[in-house]
Amino acid sequence: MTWQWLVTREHAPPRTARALVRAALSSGEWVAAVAVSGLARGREREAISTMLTQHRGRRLLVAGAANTPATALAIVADAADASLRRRIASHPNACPNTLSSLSPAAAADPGLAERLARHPAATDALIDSLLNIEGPSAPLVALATRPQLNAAQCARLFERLPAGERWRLGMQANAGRALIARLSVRADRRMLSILAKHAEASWELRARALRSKHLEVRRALAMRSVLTAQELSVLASDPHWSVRRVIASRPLLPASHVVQYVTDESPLVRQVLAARGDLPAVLLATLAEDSDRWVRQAVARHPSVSKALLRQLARDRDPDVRRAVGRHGNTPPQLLSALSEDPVAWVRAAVAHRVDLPASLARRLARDASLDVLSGVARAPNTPLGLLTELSRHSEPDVRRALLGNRRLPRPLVTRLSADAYALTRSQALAHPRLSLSRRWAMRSDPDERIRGAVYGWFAARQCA
Amino acid sequence: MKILVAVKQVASLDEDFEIRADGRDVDPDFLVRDLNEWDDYSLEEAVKIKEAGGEVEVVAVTIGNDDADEVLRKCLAKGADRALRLWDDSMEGSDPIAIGRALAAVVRKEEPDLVFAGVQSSDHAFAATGMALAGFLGWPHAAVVNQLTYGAGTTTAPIRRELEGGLLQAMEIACPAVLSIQLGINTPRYASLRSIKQAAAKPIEVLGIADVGLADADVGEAGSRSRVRRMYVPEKGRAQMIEGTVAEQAAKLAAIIKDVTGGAA
Repeated sequence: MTWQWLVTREHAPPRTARALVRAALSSGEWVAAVAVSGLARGREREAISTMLTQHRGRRLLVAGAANTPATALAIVADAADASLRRRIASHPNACPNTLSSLSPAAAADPGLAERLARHPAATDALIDSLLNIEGPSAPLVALATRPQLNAAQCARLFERLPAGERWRLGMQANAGRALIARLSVRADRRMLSILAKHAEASWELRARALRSKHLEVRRALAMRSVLTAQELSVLASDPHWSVRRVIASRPLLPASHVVQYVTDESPLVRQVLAARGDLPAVLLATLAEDSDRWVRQAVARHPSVSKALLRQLARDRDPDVRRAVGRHGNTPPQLLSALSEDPVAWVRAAVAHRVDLPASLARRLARDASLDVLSGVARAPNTPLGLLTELSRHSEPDVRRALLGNRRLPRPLVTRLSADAYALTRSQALAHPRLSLSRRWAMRSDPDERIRGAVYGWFAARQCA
Repeated sequence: MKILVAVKQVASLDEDFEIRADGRDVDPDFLVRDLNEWDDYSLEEAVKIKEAGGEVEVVAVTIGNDDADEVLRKCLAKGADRALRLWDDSMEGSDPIAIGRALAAVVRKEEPDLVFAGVQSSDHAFAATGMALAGFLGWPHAAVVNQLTYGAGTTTAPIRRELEGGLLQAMEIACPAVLSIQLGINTPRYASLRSIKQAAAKPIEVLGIADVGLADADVGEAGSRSRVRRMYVPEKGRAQMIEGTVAEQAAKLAAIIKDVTGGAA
C-alpha cells in the first residue's frame, strides 16, 4: 500500500543515472519507475518494464498519468488492449513510433483512429494510413481539424469527407488554390466566411465577400493579412462595429482611419484602437477621457502612455482603470504609494504584484487583509526577510504557496514550505531553484504519490541536462 | 464523550472506463479511490468539537477491505483518535440498508454520544446510510446539516439544515443522534506531514461481523433490500445533417418521417 513511502531513507542524492534508476527500483513505486524509465538500460530496463506492466490496472495508470514520459508509454503500449491503446493515443507525450505501433488496430477501432488523427505527434505516414480507413467519419473530421495538413492530404480528405464536413478544409493553410476554388462552388454563408480569410481565395470570391450582406463574411474578409486599398476603404466604413473593430486592430492602418475611429460610435472599436502600439500621444490623451472604462483601461495599459496621463488615470472613478495604472511599468513611485492605499483591494493587489515593489510598500501592504494583496507581497523579490518569514506562517495555504513564486526566497523558508501541510505548496517547493539537493531528495518520502514521482522526475531531468 | 464518524472510501471514474464483465459495476482497474468528500467535512466537524474542549474521543469507522485503510489513515492524520474497519467477505454487495445495519452494530458496541455521516457518497449517491443507521438504532436523525453548535456533554444539539429553495431550518435534536453532514459546514484541514507520519504508526482496529454480533444473513446481498441489476452508459441520441437543395432536403426529411412513422406520413 502507499503508506510504505514512510520508510525513512537517509541516503545522499544519487550522482549517476544508474544510481537513480536503482533507487527508483528499490523504492518499489511505479511513479518512480515511470520517472526514470528513460535512463534505464539492460537488466534495469527489464526490471522497470516488469514493474510497469505487472497487471492491467498498472498499465492503465501509467498510460493515464499526465507526466508519463514517452519511454514509459512505449513500455506499456499494447495494441491488443482497446482501452489502453486509446489512452496512449490520447497522451500528449506519446512519441511517433508508439503511435505508429498502434495504427494497425485503427481500422477496426474508430475511437482509436480519431485519437491518432488528433495527436500532434502523428507522422505523415500515419496520417496517410488513417486517410484510407473505411467506416465512420469521425476520424476523417479529426484529421481535417489538424493544423498544417499538406496539399495531397487536403485533396484526399476532400474526396473522403462527407459534404457537410468539407468546410473544415477551408481552414487548412495548404489547401491550395484549386481546392479552395472547388470549395467555393455554391459556397454558403459559412463556407464563404471561411474561404474569405484564406490566402488562396480568388479575386472573385473576395469581391463576393466584400459585397456580402452577411456581416460574418465581411468580418472574415477583414481578417485577411493583406487587403487591397479598396477593400480596406470599404471595410473601414462598414456599418457593423465588429467589422470596423477587426480593421481597427490591423497593423499599418492608415492614419486617416486611426483618427476616424477615435470618435467611432462603438466603444468596442475604440477599445481596440486604444490598444494600438502606434497610437500618437495626442490621440491617447483624447481616449483617456473616453466615456467607456475599458477604453480608458486600454490607455492605462498602453506602453507609450505618459506619466501625466497615468497620474490622471490613477484618479479614475473605475477600479479597473486604477488597477491598470498600478500594474504599468512606468508608474512613478509616488503614484504607486497612493494606489497602495486604494479602497479597492483589487487595485492594491496590482501594486503588490509588481516585480519592482519597493520594500517600504511591501511593509505597508503586508498588513493588508486581502489574500490577493498578501500573495503579491509574498512574490515580490524586494520583500524583507522578516515579512517573508511571517507570511510563511500565514494560515491561508494560498498565501504560503505564493511565496514559492519568489525566486529569491531564502533557502530556510523554501525548506520549511517543502514540509507544508498543503500538497500543492510542497509540489511548488520541490520545483523552487533554492531548495537544496538533499532536501529535494528527501521529499521522495512525501505522502503525496505525485510529489514522490516528481522528485524522481526532477533528478532524472537533471541527469539528462 | 465519544463521536463516531462513518466514512467511506469512494471511487471516482477515470476519463475512460469499462464496465465489469457481470455488467453490474465499473471495472476496478478504472477507478481512483479517495475519502468521500462529505465525510471529510463530517470528520472536521467532530475534530472541531474535540478541539473546543472537554473529553471528546473521535472514532472513524468504515466498512471495506484493507484497501480502505488508506482513508482511515487520513482520518487519523486529520485528528481522529481511533480508527475501526469492519469487513468480512460476506459483506460484498451490501446495499445501504445492510451497511446501515452493520454500522448500527458498531455503534451499539462503541456507544457514542453522536454519530456523523456524510449527506451522501460521491460514487453511489444513495444518500441513505445516515437514515438507515438511525432507523436501526431508533435514534433521532437530521439530514443535510450545515451548522452545528454543540458543546461536549450536552444532551441536545442545536443544528441548522438546508432545505429546498434556499430555506434553512433551525432545530434542536436530542442526543444521542445521527447527523448527516453537508458540504460547506466547515473548512476541512490539511493534515500536516508530522501528523501523517504519526497516523501511519497508529493501529487500525479490524472487526469481523461476528465481533459486532452479526451473521452472514445480515450483510451482503443476503441482508440487502435492493440489488444492482445493471450499470451502463446510455446510448447517445442520433443526429443527422441533411444536405442538398431545399427541395432535396424536404424530400429526405419526408423519407425520414415516413421511415420513423412506418409510412403514415
